[in-house]
Amino acid sequence: MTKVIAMTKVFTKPGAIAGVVLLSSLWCGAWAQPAGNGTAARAGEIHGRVLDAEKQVPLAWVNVVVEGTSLGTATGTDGSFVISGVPEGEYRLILSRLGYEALAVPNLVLAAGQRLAREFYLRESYLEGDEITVTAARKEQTAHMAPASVATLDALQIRQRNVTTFDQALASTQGISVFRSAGTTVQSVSIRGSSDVAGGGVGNRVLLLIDGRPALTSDSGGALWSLVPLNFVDRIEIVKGAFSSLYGSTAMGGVVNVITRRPNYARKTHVEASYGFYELPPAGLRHTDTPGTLSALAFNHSGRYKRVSYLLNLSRKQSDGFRERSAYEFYDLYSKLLVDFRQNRNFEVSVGGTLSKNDYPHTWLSNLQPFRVAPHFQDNRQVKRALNADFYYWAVPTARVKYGSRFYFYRNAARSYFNENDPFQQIPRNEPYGLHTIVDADKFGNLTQVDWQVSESHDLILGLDAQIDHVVSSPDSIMYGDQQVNNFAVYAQDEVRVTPRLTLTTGARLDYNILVGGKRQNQVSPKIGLVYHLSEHASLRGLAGQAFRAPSIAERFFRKEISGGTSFVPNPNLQAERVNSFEVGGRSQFGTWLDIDLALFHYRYRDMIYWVSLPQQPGQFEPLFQVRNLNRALMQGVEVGANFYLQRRLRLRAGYTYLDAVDRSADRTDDLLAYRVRHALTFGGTLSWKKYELNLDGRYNGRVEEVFLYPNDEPKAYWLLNTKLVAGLMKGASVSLSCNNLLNSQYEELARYRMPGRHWIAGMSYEF
Amino acid sequence: MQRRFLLAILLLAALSVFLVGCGGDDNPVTPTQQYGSVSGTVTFVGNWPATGEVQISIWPSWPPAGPPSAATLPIASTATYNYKIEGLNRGTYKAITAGWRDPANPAGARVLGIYINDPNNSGVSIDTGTGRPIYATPVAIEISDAKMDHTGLNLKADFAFAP
Repeated sequence: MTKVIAMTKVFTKPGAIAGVVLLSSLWCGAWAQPAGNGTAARAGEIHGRVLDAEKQVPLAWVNVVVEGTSLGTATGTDGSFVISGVPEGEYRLILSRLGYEALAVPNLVLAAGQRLAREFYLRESYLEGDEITVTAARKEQTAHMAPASVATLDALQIRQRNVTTFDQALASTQGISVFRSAGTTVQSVSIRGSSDVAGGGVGNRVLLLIDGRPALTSDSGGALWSLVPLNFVDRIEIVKGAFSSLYGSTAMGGVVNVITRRPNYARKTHVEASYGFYELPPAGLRHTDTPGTLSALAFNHSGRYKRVSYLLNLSRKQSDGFRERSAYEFYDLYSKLLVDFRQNRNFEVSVGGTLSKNDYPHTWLSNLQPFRVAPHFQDNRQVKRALNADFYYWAVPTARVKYGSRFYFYRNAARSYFNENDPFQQIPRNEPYGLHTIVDADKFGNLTQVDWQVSESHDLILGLDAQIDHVVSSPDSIMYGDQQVNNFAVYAQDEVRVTPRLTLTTGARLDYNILVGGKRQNQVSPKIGLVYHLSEHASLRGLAGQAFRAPSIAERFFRKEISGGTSFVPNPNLQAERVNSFEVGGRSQFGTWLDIDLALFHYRYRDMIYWVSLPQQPGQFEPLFQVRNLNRALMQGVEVGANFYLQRRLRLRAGYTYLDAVDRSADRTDDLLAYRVRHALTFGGTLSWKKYELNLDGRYNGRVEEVFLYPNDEPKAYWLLNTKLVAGLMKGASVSLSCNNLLNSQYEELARYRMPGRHWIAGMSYEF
Repeated sequence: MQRRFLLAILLLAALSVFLVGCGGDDNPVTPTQQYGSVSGTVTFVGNWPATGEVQISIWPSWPPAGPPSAATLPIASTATYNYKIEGLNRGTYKAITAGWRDPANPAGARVLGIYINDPNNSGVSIDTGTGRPIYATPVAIEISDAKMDHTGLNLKADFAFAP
């Protein structure tokens, strides 16, 4: 049974238990029928609009039922509804939607012929199993209904944690490993050991989506983490396992889908500022006597004018860095327009841009001087400009059909500058004076999808996906030159509720990948998923699928990595790598105080794209590599997670992942794959009391047993604990104090890149 | 009432962690106890080249499949040089070399000598057929709790192998 609460501007008295949330609310459509009898002339109407209680955004597809009658309807995309033909009398209105606590509105008195208008507010469910996900099946469902392991982070959880960049939000999520080299440089994000750590995002096997569109760089295939407008994230969905059947290349380890907020209907402005400092390293390791600082400033505004809702965000982040040459400056502009030009027909435009300037990340000078870098690296830096635009039209023409089409564009322009300050090469080992590299990577894409509810127990999805990646880079002796890759795909997914308890999902996708002037490849990615509902709040699941990753332009054509001196032999004929993925699991909710999720996973990789050290000519001591389809690998393990709730006041969570990742290649030198963490633990909790909120967020990472480039310098195991205390001052205003790396752990995620020690951040936030 | 009491206790406990954990602990680390070292004397023979730099490097793999684990700073012209490389993690290091490289042409690096536990032998020779250098098998160094600091790792560096 679903708990029903009352929360409207008119009615505040808690109601009683009401009916079950209708799981397929998307399709509940306009089934309301007026009474249509002789009393119609005297019948009244109930008009209303339903909004999210916290975000103040309209909620579509809320089921609205007049209890004890056959009258009811669902809200449109603007959150509004009308129930006509309601005879005079006193009623109770029941509102329910996936992911929200159902709402009962009692004592609704309607006089003959009266037109009653109300606004209603629904609160999001705080139980993880009830949270909505759209990523596992490209349609709305709760985590209980998804055939895969799903984790979600909503805006509130992001705000409660001490998170200023997107990678920080992911780092404490169960099953995810983040490898960073500096303040703004994410080298790799891995789900259950999927991705390699090869620099610049090369070897990424996690698909990042922003509102359902892929956000990967065209050159390396790495995720564009910096493009995520963190201040406008509604929620982040992390789906684990192979999902190429829906999303194509790169969705091997899983998918991270960032759902951005819809613009507010009410006009709102939000200002946020923070300032902090890094504590000095322990005395023996200190590189300076002046603590580095970090600060952030964000301004956003949203509102509505006639049929157009809008939002705008401007933000800036800056840091002097916590070690030599780790400073950054980051600017972000993000805007979104939503046009409701007809009922259930919408047009959305999102435009964003970022500018980042940072010191080029370099390895430490030595174990004894982990916060210093070599003198010849002191004058290297990077400037990156990114632009993205998305145009999305979607419509719900009938109660059973939804379709949408989007065109999107990304430009990622990166400039790296080396040895700008040493024209006479007085510092040994410097690169040639003034050397700089240029990469302009563009991605154009179209994604078109039709959702068709064939019957009450049968949903069908059909889609087309086209992408063009174009990269211009120089100098040719270092970078990739001018390259283009086109990818075209069709996909289908069929979901059938075989019995009321058993749901079967099958799907497949065909991708056709063309390197212009080079290799052409086809990929077929099937999947099958089962969910068996033991009860309303307990389910078992199974998923088998195949996924692939097309080789990136960087892997095919890259020639030289400057700072490490590593050279590459290009390999344009590189093939796609594949994985066969199997997972079984279950999720159970015990009352409203505990939910537990357990998963066993087994991934078999073949033709894995990997760096191979080539035999060197005698006398040659510059490392020489080629990227090849070399490995067969097996990654398997178990993941268990639990959430404990004491209503909305206290939430505790813990998760553990055991990963066994072994190289199964015929000519392997050892069994280990680089940068796979065998034991990982995440834990945390949020306590809310009156106007105060305290969040603790921690993780334990076991030691990295194998690294790629620096044997004997494998990162050791570490514990990390972050805290944030927030105090509400008055309506809309709060202040906060955060302490990151509370235990002052000296640790690395990547070999030879020391991470920051304890640092403090004070912040304020005001919304009006 | 009980719930409020429980919440108050939890809040106090969490605040205690927050405040106690964040207390200053500026304990200096003693890195020499954590890491190992190698040291010895390099004897140079032949004439120092007018350009380029010489360094002593320790390698985690041989032949090299990546950057060295650590290296000395560039060495000025001298007949002998007492080197010491510190801050080495536990593990096996496959080679210690004396090398010459030209910063303007890093690909043209040359090995002048390898530690082979014979200070009178550079461990490098020239294949008369191809003119390419041939290397003797270097002596691996194991840094472990049993022996963290290895001394007396002397080698000979011969500038005949530099361009």
